[in-house]
Amino acid sequence: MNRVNVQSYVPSVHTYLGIQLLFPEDLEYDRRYPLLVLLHGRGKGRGQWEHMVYLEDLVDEKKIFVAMPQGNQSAFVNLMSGERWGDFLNRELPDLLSGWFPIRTEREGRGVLGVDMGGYGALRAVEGYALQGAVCPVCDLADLYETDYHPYPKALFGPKEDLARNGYPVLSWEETKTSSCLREQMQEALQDMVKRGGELGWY
Amino acid sequence: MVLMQFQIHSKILQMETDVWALIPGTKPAPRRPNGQNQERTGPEENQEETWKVLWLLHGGVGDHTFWLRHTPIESIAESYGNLAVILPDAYGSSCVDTVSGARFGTYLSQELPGILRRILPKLSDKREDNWVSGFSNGGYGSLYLGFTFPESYGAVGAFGAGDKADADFTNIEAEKERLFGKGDLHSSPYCASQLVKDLGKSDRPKPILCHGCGSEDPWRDMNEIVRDAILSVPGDPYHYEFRIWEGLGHSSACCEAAIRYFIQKMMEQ
Repeated sequence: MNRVNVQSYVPSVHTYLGIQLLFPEDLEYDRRYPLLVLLHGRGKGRGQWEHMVYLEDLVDEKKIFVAMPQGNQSAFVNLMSGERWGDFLNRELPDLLSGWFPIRTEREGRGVLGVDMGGYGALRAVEGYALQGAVCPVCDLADLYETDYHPYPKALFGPKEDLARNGYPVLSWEETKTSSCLREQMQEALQDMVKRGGELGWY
Repeated sequence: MVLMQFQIHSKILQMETDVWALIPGTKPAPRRPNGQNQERTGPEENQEETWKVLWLLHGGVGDHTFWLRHTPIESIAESYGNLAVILPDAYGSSCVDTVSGARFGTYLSQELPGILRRILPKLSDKREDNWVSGFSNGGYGSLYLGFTFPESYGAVGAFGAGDKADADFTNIEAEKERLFGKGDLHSSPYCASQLVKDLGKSDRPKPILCHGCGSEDPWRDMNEIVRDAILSVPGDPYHYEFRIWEGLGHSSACCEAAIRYFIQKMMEQ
């Protein structure tokens, strides 16, 4: 397995972002590979998934690219403050990655899986990804308002009472936990995503 | 530009290697004086199908981060739009296939380009679009690579670069033996002057060769020995240029001046 950390200016969020990618060692010429995007949770960074689950076998055996972008505290959705993290996730990130690397360009070749706050963004990323999945997702952004979340949720998503109107619906999600341990839940969700990728003909 | 920091497994070296790359990309648009942004430059920029590639080697006391930290290489390369800069780590190898079995020359000139061209398909695989350059030990490395593996490079930019065969290895004999073996190096595969002469007599492709150093470089004499060897090759097959940068030494300032000159020359070919 090889890895790269990319630092690139991303217009939709007006700043430079880090994107960590893992990819198979022996890439073939003239072949494009499926992409799995893993989104981190609140207070964490793009290294969260790799710290919690073992990705090397997945990358090397299934021959896929795994991308782990920095999301700051955005939940990977467009913000009222103007940074369009949802557009980044659904449009700009796939376009950038398939422009640089041999990654499949069509939606059917992509999946996204998020934990916690990243789960909210992942579940909403229908535009960019054929597969969406989540682990312990934040389903209602209102839950963030009474916590110590920074930046202040109101600054990111607007007043709590206006969440739905501002385009931040409550999501329905059925958690099928077989473990109370987050690491195991993340591993399980990853395996499920791998299985679903197989059903889409990724490998 | 976009900075990519790779960790790549090399089968030849049997180790993980560090490689940085600067590739063309979107940059922030400058702000107007009144604080408003101009239209953002979008991903439509820099949509060249392939990028020319500069393989840029660090010096003896340095690593893959050297050029980015000590020179404005990004702003120099960025102005051309379709140039990628690859910054590999040579791990103190002088970029050679060492006698002790660490084949850094083969890794840098064969394996790494092959790997990176599959990771970044826009890197040009045409010989004339691939140039190797460096300063100090990296300058020597570019001579070694360019004249040992001339099929890989259309041009060599060797700056602050003397020949290992002329170097003084007092107090570092062990390092010399690890890399190059014992004895006089003038009749070894590591003698840059001999590599240049031998290639000149062969049917193999000949890279364009740019060479030079600062006027105050303490190893200016070693650069001039190599210069004289190159000038002795009949017919000037390398379209050779030798430059002295007045007032500059063996320094980051000379690195900048040299690489700015080399990139401009090659991009305007």
